[in-house]
Amino acid sequence: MSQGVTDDQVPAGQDPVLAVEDLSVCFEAGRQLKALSQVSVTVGRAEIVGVVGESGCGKSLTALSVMGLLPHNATVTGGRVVLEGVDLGSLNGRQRRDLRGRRMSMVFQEPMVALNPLMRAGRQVTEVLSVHSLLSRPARKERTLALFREVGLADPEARYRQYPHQLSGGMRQRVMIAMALAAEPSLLIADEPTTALDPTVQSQILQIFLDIRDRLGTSVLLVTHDMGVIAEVADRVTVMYAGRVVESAPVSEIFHRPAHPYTAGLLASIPARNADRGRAEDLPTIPGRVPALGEITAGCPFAPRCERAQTRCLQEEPGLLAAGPAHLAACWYPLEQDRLPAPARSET
Amino acid sequence: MIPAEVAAPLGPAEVPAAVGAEPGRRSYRRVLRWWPLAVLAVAAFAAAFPFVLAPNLPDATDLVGRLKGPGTTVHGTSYLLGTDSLGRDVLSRVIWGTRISMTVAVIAVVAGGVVGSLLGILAGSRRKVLGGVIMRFADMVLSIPFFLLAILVVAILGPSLVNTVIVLATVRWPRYARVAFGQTLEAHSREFVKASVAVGVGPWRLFRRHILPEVLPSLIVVATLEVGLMIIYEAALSFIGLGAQPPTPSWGAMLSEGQQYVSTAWWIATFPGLALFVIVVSVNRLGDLLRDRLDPRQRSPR
Ligand SMILES: Nc1ncnc2c1ncn2[C@@H]1O[C@H](COP(=O)(O)OP(=O)(O)OP(=O)(O)O)[C@@H](O)[C@H]1O
Ligand SMILES: [Mg+2]
Repeated sequence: MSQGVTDDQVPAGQDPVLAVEDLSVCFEAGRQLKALSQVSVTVGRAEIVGVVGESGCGKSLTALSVMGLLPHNATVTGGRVVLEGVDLGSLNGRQRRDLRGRRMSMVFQEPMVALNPLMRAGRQVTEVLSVHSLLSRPARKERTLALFREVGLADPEARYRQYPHQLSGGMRQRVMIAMALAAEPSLLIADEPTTALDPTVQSQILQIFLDIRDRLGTSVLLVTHDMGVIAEVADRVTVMYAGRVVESAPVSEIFHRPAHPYTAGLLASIPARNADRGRAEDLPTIPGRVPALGEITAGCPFAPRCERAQTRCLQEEPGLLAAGPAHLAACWYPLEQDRLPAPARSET
Repeated sequence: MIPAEVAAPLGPAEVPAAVGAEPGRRSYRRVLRWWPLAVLAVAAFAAAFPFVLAPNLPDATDLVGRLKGPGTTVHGTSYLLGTDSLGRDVLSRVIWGTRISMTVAVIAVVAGGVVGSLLGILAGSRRKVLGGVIMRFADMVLSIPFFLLAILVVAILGPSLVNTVIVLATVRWPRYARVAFGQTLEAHSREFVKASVAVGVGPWRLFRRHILPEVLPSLIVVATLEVGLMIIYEAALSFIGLGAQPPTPSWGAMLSEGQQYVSTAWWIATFPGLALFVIVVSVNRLGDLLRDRLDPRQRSPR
């Protein structure tokens, strides 16, 4: 790794495993469309950081930029990604590939299609081990079986020999996680890992993340649009809106003292937390929708949907400002910190 | 075959519906659909062992027995399909012609197919710059009229069967490149390919393990259909004198010789033409069957 290390000023001893710093990404689609704008996220060792936001706010894009797997029509136009002290932008393709799997891995949303239908489950995991030339052939099989046990697959020997179509969605997601963990990465990125699964399987999968964090010290960047998932496993949360980070805080802060009206809106629309309210139609929703990439104009991108918006919000875009200990929010008029929020309610 | 514990313990697994044995009549029909294989097996045998099937040598002339009709016997030698203007046995020449047609077509398809497929896959995997260059070049080659290029190459290299193969491969590789390019792009957009890249699988292994198996079925279908086309092209080049040279028993050359005698000795051109027709129809039919079998997405509307 020596050639990749740059002169960063991260204090030794408490380096974050991942630091995304002011990352900007543009799409080339006739004209340049800015999809990420100065996104910063950090993940500490053995920390689970959630990234939440509505569909299209750039969560997946952030994850893919870290992995260096952006779509071919996207380019990084600013900022950097530092993984364990190594600036990924300074690496060539080969060096980056070498980090994938060994230092960082990614689990995708759709377990139904994320395994090669023509390969046995066991083979897909041993492949990762052979890519990184870890272990001898019989040892790879042993390690794969151990991984299968680790991710809670019953009867690993049988799973090892099965093809993906013979496995349920939950089992496939476990195989995916086993693949991602095979080379013991320090960082696991999971993009909506449970969205396609039913609720019981969902919590079992989330439990695996807690488990590997506790036993292996793996850091997890968990992308989701579901505040319930965040509540279950995350230590810290980064809330994204229209390609920007709008709030970032420890989980308890976010849930008890959200500073950004958008976060408050997200929280108010979690069904479980509003169980006492009765019928589902009563759930408050955030009016309006996320602006499309070309539509973002001056001012705070959330202002058109925000009931607290003032003239300043329409003219100047707020940067991330301290809203409490380890708590940042991009809002000119953050919700007051010492009382529970009165979340935005829809008129109907 | 699927063990029972698949469904346990995490909820329902979709066990694919077992394909039950069809009733006798239907399965009989299904086997019959593959008749092109039988025709092509005979043709392949003729191509491999023409000396076993051919009653006479293809080049043996018999000046007494010139232009004799089918079924004639001259000096105790019977000519089932008649003789040509030099008294050569048409049947034997058609049988030996199978070897020429099949060899030229298969070598041209393998050469063009391998080069085109590899370039197409490379273009699909290195989309940014290299891919654009390769595919633009492919478009350019495709835009040159076939016979123009053939005449050019033959003018430079001289007419021969080897040069025919070179011409055919040179002209046809873009077809495979286009298919391979499209299929590779599709494969790269598949989630499991992304997942493999995300755990560090490099380009070479990705190609072998994940891309090639996705791309191959379509390429096999295209290659099969191309064999039919290459047989026609070879015959066409030989017909206009740019391919096989006399006395090589190429079907195209035989057609060309025979056309002068169509009114007086119809059999000289008819039988090689018939052989050409049967083989090409069989190859194309096989291509369609393979497409339905391997690549249902591109099923031709009927
Ligand atoms: N290949 C692409 N070309 C052009 N625009 C794209 C492309 N991929 C994504 N985008 C745009 O980039 C923005 C962010 O996309 P991203 O996939 O990161 O959203 P997301 O937050 O993950 O949403 P979701 O919850 O739906 O997965 C979206 O507005 C999307 O339309
Ligand atoms: Mg996404």
